[in-house]
Amino acid sequence: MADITINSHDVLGKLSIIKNYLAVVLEIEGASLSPKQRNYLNSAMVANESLITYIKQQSGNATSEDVAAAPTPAKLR
Amino acid sequence: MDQVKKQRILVVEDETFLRDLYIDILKEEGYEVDAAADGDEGFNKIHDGGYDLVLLDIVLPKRDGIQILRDIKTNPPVKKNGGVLMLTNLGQEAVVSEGVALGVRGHIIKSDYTPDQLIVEIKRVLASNNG
Repeated sequence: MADITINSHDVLGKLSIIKNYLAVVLEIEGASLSPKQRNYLNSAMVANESLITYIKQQSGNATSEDVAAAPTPAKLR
Repeated sequence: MDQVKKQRILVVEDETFLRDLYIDILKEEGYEVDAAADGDEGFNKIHDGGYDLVLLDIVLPKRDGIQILRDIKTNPPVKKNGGVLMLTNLGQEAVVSEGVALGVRGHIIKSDYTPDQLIVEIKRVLASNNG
C-alpha cells in the first residue's frame, strides 16, 4: 500500500473552513434551526474540533488549553 | 445628510471558501471589504493603501505574508494603512515574532477562531487605530 503524506497545515486549513461555516450557521442562524438540525451541526462541529486538536497534537502544536477546550456537545449552542 | 464613511478592510487569503466567508461576514458587519487571492495581488493592494485593517494570510502563493510585510517596509504604501492582523493555521512562534517585529498588531490562528471571535478581534484592532 502506498504511503500517504499529509501536510498538517493544509489539513488544518480545510478544517478551519469547515469550522467557520458550521459556526456561522450555528451562531448566526442558530435561532431559526430546529433542535434536531442544531444537534446535527453540533455533532459535526465537535467531530471537526476533535480533528483540529488531533492534527495539532500530531504536528506538535497543541497546547494543554487546546486539549481542554476541545468542545463537547453541551458547550455548543 | 453626511454619510459615515465605512471602514475599509482588505482580506488577503488564498483559500476561496474562507475568503468568501470573511467577505460576507465583514460586509454584514458594515465594513467595506476588498480582497486579494495571492501574495502579489495582496502586496499591490496594500501598497496602494488606504485600508483601516488588513487581514493577511501567511502562507500564500506567489509571495508569502512575511515577504509582503518586508516588501512594504522597503516600499511604503502610497496611502497609509491601519493595522495588520496575521492569519495563520499553526502557532508558528518564529513567524509570529517576525510579523510582530515588522509591525503587525496581532495574529489569529484560523483553526482557533469562529467568525464571531474574529469580528471581536477586528473591532479591537480598529479601535486601537483611533487610540
